[in-house]
Order: sequence, then structure tokens, then C-alpha cells
Amino acid sequence: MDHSGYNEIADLALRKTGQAFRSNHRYLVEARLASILRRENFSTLEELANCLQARPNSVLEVEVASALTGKDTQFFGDRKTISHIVSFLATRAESSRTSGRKLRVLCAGGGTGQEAYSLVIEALENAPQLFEDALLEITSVDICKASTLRARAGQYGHYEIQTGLSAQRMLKYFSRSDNSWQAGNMLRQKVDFSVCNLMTGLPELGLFDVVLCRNVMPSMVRPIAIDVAGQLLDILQPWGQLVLGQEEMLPQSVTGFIPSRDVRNALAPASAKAASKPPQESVA
Amino acid sequence: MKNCLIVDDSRVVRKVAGRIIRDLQFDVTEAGDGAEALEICRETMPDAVLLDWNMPVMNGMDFLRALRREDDGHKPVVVFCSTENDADHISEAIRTGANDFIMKPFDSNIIESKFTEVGLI
Repeated sequence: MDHSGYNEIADLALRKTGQAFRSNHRYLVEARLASILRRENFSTLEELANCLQARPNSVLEVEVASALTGKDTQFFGDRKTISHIVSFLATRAESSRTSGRKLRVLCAGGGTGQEAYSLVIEALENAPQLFEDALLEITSVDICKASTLRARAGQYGHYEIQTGLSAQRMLKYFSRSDNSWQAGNMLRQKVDFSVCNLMTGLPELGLFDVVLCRNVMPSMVRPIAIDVAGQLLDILQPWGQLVLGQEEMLPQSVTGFIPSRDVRNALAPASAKAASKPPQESVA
Repeated sequence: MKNCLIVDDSRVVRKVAGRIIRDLQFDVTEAGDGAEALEICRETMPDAVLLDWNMPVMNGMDFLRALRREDDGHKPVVVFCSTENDADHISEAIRTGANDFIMKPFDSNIIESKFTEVGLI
């Protein structure tokens, strides 16, 4: 079998998204590109690779690279963590209000929006005060334009709507439109979705109290993952929390984080301890 | 091991669902309609019921009402599993005492997710 087409596509993923696909990942690449292959009438990866080669830097190239990133398609994918994050935000609410700051959450690699909407649902049910005066701001960014548009539209299919959501929550927050389920304004107004490639740098988004970056870095090659972790550290408040996926660890050479005491699976900036302690001289 | 009663008039659906639910470490019993299911419940109350809506003899809604009137009939966790999947049908099922609702067609992810949602696993 000729692997040159596969190799070219794997190389494109590495250049554009920092993801490493090994030679035995062909099935994964084919699965993630299936809808593009179908739409463009390509019967093999090689045909797609030839087309990409003929038109470097095309829109299709970006689309292929972003389709190759993994997508978390579950609501409440890690429900205990979602609940811990909302409890943590509730504990920060007062100091945020007092200092006139918003409480800010970033879902980095937020895909089709289930993670962000799960946070909204959890907060609506357990800490509705977070939405008073629009205190809580949730931003979700993803490399994939198609995912971002779908997240913003808040439309979910038969299988997506039934993984992670009870029927009660489905009926409360979504309504049926034809064959899909549409998130209501109660959810959609509370999240801002935009396209962003973590590898080429985060835009000016400001500082965040919580950054979720679940199951994004493990598929990246080490130098890129290290770079992304550094960028995420830069956008965390001193008391901020970086939430990774279950069982996920940062590359060993990443410094600047310590395990969080507040949120499960989370890391906190190493300087947080010093920052949260009142300076001795002001006490005396 | 927990026990799940699958109530559906389609043998194929019972077989497919049965396979998935056994994999989730449940003992599985089957019934082809609501009346048969009620007999089984009167003998041994299951921990969970996966329940179709449209069936001959006794449909899913009538079974659910009858079950909830039985002694210990409040105990089983009932998950509807039906092609009647518009919002009205789903909320009617929940109001009548179903714990959750699966819209057909289903796969193992959906069953596992819903069983987790209602605390069965």
C-alpha cells in the first residue's frame, strides 16, 4: 500500500495543530476525515492528499487539519469535575464582585460546545447567583470552524443529546427542531464561542479564573504541548485553575504549576500560595 | 448483581439491549408486553426496567402506572425506550413516573450514559 498520502496528511496535522499521528493511526485519520472525503467525493486519503498538494494553504487544508483534532462530544463528560469547577467559582464570586471583576472561564479546545453548556447547566442548577449581573463569563474556543459554528448554533443530534444529559435536562434546556435538539437562549446567551488555534497563540483574551483544556495536549507533540501549557499559565489568575482531562498529565518539563487543592484534576499556578498569603509587613 | 427487566415486543430489540445491559454487569430478564412484565415484577421486583411504549396487550404507559401502584413498585428505576420521541411524549413519560427516557435508535453509549444518569451504574 502507498502511504505517501497518509504521511502528507499526518504532516499537515503536525504543522497546523501540533498533533502527532503515527503510521498505525490511519483508521483514526480516516474516521475523522470521513465527512470531508464524502463531501468532496474523494474515495481515498491519497486523492485528498493530492488535492491538498496541488493547492497549498487552501481553505480545505485548514479544514482538514482542524477536522483531525479529537472532539469531546459528551455533555457532562467528567461530571464530578464540572461540579467542582462550579463550586470553586461560587467560592470566588464574592471577591470578584467586591473587586469589580468578572468571573471568567475558558474552554480551550471546546469543540462543539458540550463542555461549556454543561458548565452553564451545572451553574444554573447549583449556583444561579453566578449569573446575577452577568458575573460569570464563559468563553469556548476551538481550532475547528465547523465545530465552533455548531457550538454557537447549539444544535445537537440524536446521539449527542442522549449522552450525558437526562431526559429532564434535555427537555428543560433544549427544544426539538426537526431531527435535532436546539439549545435554548438560556444556555446560548451565556457562552461566547470563537475560532482559535492554541498552537499559533491565544488572542488577547485577558485573564481567567478557570481554564479547561481537557484531552487536548496529550495528542500534541511535546514541544508544542509545553508551549501551549506555558500560554495557559500566562492567562490564569494567580488563584486560577487549569483543568485537564481525567488521568491527563502535563509534560514533565513544564514548570510553574502545582496540583490544585480546590478542583479535581486541576493544576494551579505555583506562585498562587505566595499570592494568596497576605504580605507579612501589611499584617504588622 | 443488579437485575434489569427488558420490556419490548420486538425480539431483536430485546436481544440487542440485553447484550448491552449484560455487558454493564446486569442480570437480564425479558418480557414481550406490559402484562407479562407486570407478572414478572410481582414475582421479583427488578432493580431496573427498560420499557418500550407501544406494545400489544398492555402498553408501556399502562404498565408503568400499574407498576407504580404495586407494593415496592416505586423501587425499580424505569427507563423508557421508545420511538415516540417528541417532547410531549417524553414529558408525559417522566410525569407518569419514568426516571429517564431513551429515544430509539440507541447504542451502548446511550444506554450506559442513561443508566449512569439515573444512578444504576
